[in-house]
Amino acid sequence: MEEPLMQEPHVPEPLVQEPLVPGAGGAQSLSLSSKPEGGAGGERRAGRAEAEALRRPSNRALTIIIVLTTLLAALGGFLLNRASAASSDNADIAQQLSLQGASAQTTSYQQAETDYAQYLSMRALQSKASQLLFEAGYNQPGTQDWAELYRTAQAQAAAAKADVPRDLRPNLSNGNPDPSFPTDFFAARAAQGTMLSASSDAYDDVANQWSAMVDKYTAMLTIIAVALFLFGSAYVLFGRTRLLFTGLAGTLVLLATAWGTTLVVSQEPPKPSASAAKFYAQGVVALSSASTPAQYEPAIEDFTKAIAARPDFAQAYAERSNAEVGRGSLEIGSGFVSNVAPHWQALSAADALAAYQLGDTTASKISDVAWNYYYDWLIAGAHGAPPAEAAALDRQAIDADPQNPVQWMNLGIVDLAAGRYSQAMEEYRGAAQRILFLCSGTAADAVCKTPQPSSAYSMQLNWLSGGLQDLADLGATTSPTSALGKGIEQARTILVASVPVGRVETGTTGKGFRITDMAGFVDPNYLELDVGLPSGTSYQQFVTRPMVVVWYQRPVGAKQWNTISNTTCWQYGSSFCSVQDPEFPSVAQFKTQFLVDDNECFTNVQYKAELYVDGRLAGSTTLGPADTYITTNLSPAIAADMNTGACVPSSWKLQPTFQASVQVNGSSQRLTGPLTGSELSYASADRQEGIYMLRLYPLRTFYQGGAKAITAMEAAVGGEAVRLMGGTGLAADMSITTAYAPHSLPGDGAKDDGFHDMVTAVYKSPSTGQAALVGVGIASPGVPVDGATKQDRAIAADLGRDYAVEVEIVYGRIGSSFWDGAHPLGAQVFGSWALLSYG
Amino acid sequence: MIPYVATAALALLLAVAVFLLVAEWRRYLKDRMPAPPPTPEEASLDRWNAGVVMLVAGISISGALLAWWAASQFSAAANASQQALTEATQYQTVKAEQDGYVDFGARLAESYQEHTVAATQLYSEAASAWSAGQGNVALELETQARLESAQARALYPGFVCYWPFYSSAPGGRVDFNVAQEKASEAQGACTQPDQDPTALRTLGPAAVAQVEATASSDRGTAEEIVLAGALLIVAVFFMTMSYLAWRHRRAHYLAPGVVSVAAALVVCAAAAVG
Repeated sequence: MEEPLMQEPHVPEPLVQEPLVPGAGGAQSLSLSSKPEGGAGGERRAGRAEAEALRRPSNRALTIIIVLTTLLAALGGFLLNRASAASSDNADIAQQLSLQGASAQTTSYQQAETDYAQYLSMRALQSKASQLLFEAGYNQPGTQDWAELYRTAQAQAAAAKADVPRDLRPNLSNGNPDPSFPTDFFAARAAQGTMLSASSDAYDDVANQWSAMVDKYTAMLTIIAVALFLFGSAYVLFGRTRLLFTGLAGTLVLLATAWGTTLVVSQEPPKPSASAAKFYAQGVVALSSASTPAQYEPAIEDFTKAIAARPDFAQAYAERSNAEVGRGSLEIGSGFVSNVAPHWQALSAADALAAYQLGDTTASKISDVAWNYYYDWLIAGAHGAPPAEAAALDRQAIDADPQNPVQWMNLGIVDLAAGRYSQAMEEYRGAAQRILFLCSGTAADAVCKTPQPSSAYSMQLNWLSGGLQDLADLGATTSPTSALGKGIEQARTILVASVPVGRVETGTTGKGFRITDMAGFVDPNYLELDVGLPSGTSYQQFVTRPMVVVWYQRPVGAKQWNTISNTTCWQYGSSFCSVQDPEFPSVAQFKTQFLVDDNECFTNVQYKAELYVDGRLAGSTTLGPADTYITTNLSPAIAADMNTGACVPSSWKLQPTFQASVQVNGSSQRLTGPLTGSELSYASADRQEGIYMLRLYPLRTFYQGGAKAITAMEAAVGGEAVRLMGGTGLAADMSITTAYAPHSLPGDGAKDDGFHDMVTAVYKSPSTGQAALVGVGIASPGVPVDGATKQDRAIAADLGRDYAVEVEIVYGRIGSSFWDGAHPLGAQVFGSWALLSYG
Repeated sequence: MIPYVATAALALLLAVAVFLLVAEWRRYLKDRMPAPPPTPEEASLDRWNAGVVMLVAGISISGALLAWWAASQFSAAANASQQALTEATQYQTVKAEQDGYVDFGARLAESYQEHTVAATQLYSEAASAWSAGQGNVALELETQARLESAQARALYPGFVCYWPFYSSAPGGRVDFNVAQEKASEAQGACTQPDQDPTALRTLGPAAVAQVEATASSDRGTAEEIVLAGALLIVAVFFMTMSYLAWRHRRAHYLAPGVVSVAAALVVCAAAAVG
């Protein structure tokens, strides 16, 4: 028979036989025994002892403990209330600052746009005044009127200049153009908003910390409440249960007290740091204006100060990570997908991870952290499989931003490296789908029908180039015949086969070609891949195949190639990237004009070109400085408002706008003013080497009379330009030593994007030993037509080719490497001169 | 962690409660006679009574866990709401800036076009003047055209982020399609360094709605936990009554307490899973 749990109460023998004395700890009489009073003294003592044992701790002790615990609870309540108020206050301030920051940013942008528009108006007036200066000097009717208008325009330009805020500076402190202008100006103007937003983030963070404290204090108070309940229950309990309840409650109180003390002493949030927000805003401005690796250092310093002031500042870590990537990039510029030096990569990865762990969980940051796991593994030697975190975070990034093909390729390469080939191929197909189409689904094989907009072209170049570069970097760690090597080849095929045809291909689209006759040519502003057509294949047959050309570059001595993404090109069934030179019909020429299209220059590094046909590598070629003859670091010198530019040594500096003095035709008056929009010059520090570029407009009548007349006109304009510029770096006593003769520059004319009827001449100075190579060309839609009527009609149809005469003067000392040798620097600078794509 | 610990604790307490209820019910079936509640001394020696007291203590501690859990959930909900607000602000800031760039581009394109259209027109008129043998007029018109062109060239490099699709459309017209430019913002937002370039894709109204839904879900969970806590208070009340009550009514008081614990467990489990 089962023993019932509920037993009849067993009265201890002997039990309490006397009323309990309240003063002894009892609050009530507990007479239960039916036995008569009396008995042995020993029994009485034993009974009393047992009864006292049953009600330990005594009621008095319990009362005192409860009172103390209640006081403790009151203290906890105070702390809870304080934390709650602090959380609420900080959240309110954060919200206010957030709105103020957003408002300040929007307002400052609007003001910055207004100021920038004012600046553009000033530039337009200056250009107008500059043109009027020339018009007043021409032999044409109404020059007095143009002179008068010049004075008016110049006064207007001066007034407009006075209205342009002083912080709007298109040039760097060293006088060179600021390549980040005007976006860095907008960032500087938004600094106040950025600081407010950063402050808001700090208050928000503190509010969250207080909120967490509220949770902890709530838990602490609840524990104390439970303890009080247990103490209260102990009042009505006896024996072991009373002891147990008291002990348990006491333990809980001790725990709560210890926890609360720890919270108060060490975990209360600090006050939000104002200096952290200030340094952060400064760092953002510095980051927005950085365009060379060294220029990222001030940004890194500012973010470091921000982090020192606020160690849990996620955004500062994130931006310092970005700045470190810029600092360590092997190539900087709009047209590169660059590898990062290992030291800076390690710093950047650590900061990106810190930012992520501190709460920056934007899709791009997750993607960065994932990539860093993989990339650190790669540069550490690619031993074993990449860290599991890489794939897990890449999946998170895809969930957050499924439309971005970069996340798909990043996941694909991690799966490739881990040997998950079928998954990797699926992800590369997903990437190809998203390079070509707008896709919102998170499934790799989502069917997407909306093509990427034309404005996404430069991003498509970046995506494809970046994907190929990553595959090349991973490929360098293995043999092409290994399973990984084959997987890499298959992934590359998916990309280069899909993009040209505009649909996702899972493999090669044909037999392709094996090109053995391939040569490259690199000029500072221009590169060319000459592909000898396979025997029995006509140019038309060749170009109907889907093909991709990819160019890479790397500094001499570097191991990894960086794709020059803007020079990547693909075509299918058309000659979008290639041309057939009539002189060499068996050669397909793939030309890229870097300066013209991207305002960038090629420089003294190594280059590699790859040609893919039908998704297969048809051939590749590598060029070094010895092949390109570029021995100096070159930078673009862009005259955007003249639609022209050249590549010049990086050490040359922009010179102040030339001040011309022109005699008004038919009058003795002279007009003096800057040739804004008509002249641009760069020179070495000693001004012994340099370049002038001018855009001039001879009267239309000068063009009449055929080719001879045009050459004569060009010679006259060139001579006048040399005379005008003489004495400002260029020697004043320059005299012609080689007469003007027709000349062509690489890339000119063939696609109607260069100068026409170009002539060149050589000038020398007997006093300074300088020589100048002068080129004069006409910006026209084709060979200049004879007759003013035809020309005006041609210009009306294409204002970008308005028959302007462009002049380039490159000067330097004779007897130096500037002019002497097989491939002198002066000739390279001269040869890089080009019209820009928009005019 | 807390949800699972709290749920497991409640499950264990429910098992104990059922066990005590069954035991008391069996005892009641044998002895239905009304009897006064035990004295404290008697109760201290009674296993059933001790069991119920311990059960009440356990439920109290579980209640404390639930309070912590609920506070965490409310806090998470508040944080998610704050995140939604922050993301909405970031999105609006980036969107306003991009729209600002596009609108600026549209205004600049208009200014640019004024000059290009005027220059085109003047060159056309100059061509007619040359045809008519009016050389001086043509020269003057060409000069005016060059002045217009010079201003246009000065303006063209001023576009920021969003450029006209064609710089030399027929008649000097400029194709700057505001709707198309705005549609392309999400693909290549022209953001400042501290702004998320994917903000227009990842922080849009849909994303914010998702975060708000998370906040709402967290708040709902917290409310469920509070409900579970309330049920535990009910359970504690009935269980306390059961060991203070006359013996023949113990089971009657304990039963609703057990039901309350069971209900609290169900609600808790739903909150933990959901």
